[in-house]
Amino acid sequence: MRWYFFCLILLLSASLPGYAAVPLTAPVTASEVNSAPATQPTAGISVPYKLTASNHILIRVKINGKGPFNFIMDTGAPAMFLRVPAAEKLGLKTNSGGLTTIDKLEVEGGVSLKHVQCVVETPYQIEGMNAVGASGVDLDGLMGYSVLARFRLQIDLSKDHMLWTPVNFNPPPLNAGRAPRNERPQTDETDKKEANLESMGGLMKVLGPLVKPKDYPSKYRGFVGIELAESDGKVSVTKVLGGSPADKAGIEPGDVLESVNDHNVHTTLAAQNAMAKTFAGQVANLVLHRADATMKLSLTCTEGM
Amino acid sequence: MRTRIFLMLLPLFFAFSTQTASAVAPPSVSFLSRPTIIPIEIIKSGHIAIHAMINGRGPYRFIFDTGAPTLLISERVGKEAHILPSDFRRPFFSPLGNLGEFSVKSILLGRAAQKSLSADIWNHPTVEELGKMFGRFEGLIGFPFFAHYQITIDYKARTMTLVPCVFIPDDTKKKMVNRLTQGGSAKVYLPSESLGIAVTKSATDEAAGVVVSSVLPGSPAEEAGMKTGDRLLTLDGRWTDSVEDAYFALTAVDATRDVPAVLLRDGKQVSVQVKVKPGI
Repeated sequence: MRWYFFCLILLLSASLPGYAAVPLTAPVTASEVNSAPATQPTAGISVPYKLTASNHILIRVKINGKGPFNFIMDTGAPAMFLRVPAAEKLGLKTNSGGLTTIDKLEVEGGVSLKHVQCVVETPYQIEGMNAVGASGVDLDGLMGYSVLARFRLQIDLSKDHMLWTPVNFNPPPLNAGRAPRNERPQTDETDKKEANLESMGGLMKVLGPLVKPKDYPSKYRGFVGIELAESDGKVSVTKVLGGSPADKAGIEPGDVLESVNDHNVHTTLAAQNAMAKTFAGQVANLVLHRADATMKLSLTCTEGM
Repeated sequence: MRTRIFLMLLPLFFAFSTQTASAVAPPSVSFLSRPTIIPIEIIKSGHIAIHAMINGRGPYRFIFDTGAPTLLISERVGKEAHILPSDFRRPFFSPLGNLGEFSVKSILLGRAAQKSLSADIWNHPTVEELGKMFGRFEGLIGFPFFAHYQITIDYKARTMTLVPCVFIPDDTKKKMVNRLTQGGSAKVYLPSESLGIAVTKSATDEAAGVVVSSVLPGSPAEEAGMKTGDRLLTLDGRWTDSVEDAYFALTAVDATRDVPAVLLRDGKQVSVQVKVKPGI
């Protein structure tokens, strides 16, 4: 088992510069850089992301309107890489060098690019991490230099959004991708070591099902249909939504919420947390005060948000 | 005298203005931080090369890699910067040359310094291969370092700006081992704000968005103009292509302002602003 974790860690730490041995981009000449048009002041785009269980920055993209697909934002990848099965599902045609051109690439938050080159290849790190569920989601690819360089990227993990500001810079077009490892000559010691590392991806794929954590369906708090406000340690109902379980049970604005599921509540957050295990179709027990009267209500939650 | 006081206060103003940009700190704490701007080199493969001081030695050339959840440092620097103990012997078994995890006293990029970080001492084959083509690299600077900063990468200007942020990263390896030994768990979404709608999506529905199956009278959603039968495409800038997406987006909303939502109605996109309210 320890040995198994070691493989995983090798894979993780190997993330993700692995795709550089052959430069994927044509050399940038000084004139190309200078000929890029002057930067227009453009508003930054708020790009939401999640930090995966493997501490990778996960962004979501749509390819030709389909998706979303899960990508790792990776300055250590020279280009956009898309897993082969995802490319096949999308019906993307590749040239002899394994490259394809995506007509429309969207990144969650409002980034939209046209005619984006992409390498269709399954990076061994992605294969390995998916096999053991290392990141908590299935990964579809890497978002690297060829796309990222078009933006000034602001990353702040204390926020749940990044800021991507277009900078009017077009990275050079990609050359052909490189041949799969087993079709390439292994010229020296480093090459052999790299080949060994890549074989970890396959190894993890074999071992993965043995340890992959089970995925459980997500759950959502049941819906009661009241808006709440708190003051002086009291939580009161400010609004009852028409037709909601609360409305049918006779709750009225101004009622004071004393307890939820036998938890006394003094804040809105406490009331919400006391509902954490009550899902749609289940019964919530509420105690409310109106004038001098106390009401004990059991109402069946619906789906809603 | 007034001028002198003003001059003394000036750096403070500067510090505060940079802090507002990175925000998020609880109001009772004020962080005084100056941004560090360092030059970056974009090598022909598109990787970002930076220079870092390790334990006061260097500078050494590294690849800056947002996709690397760990720090990697070459064996050479491991010895030269005294990360490896002086009596270190190569272990009998070091798969692919990874010598294991060691503590680094300090890593410095420009003025941005982090102390006591763990790094793997490893002549990583791919890093070596890159080095052969583009000049030597001593490893990867990844998550354990950059997580402490608001990082701005400007490929065009060839600069990287680092401002300390309030984020405490957890150890990637421990987190992974915990996940694999303790198994997965069911996520329960507990949004603190309420919209007053229900959303559904059938298993065969592959179109963008979720269907708004009900909008309750008097709810924030109704006041914003949402209607039963609309497709909710985005909420607060996040895609809502599944019921789970919709709950995630609501759980993550910034409730200090009106929340933008984009709906699809009769084939046209309609943008609305919702005043979400706390509720259950």
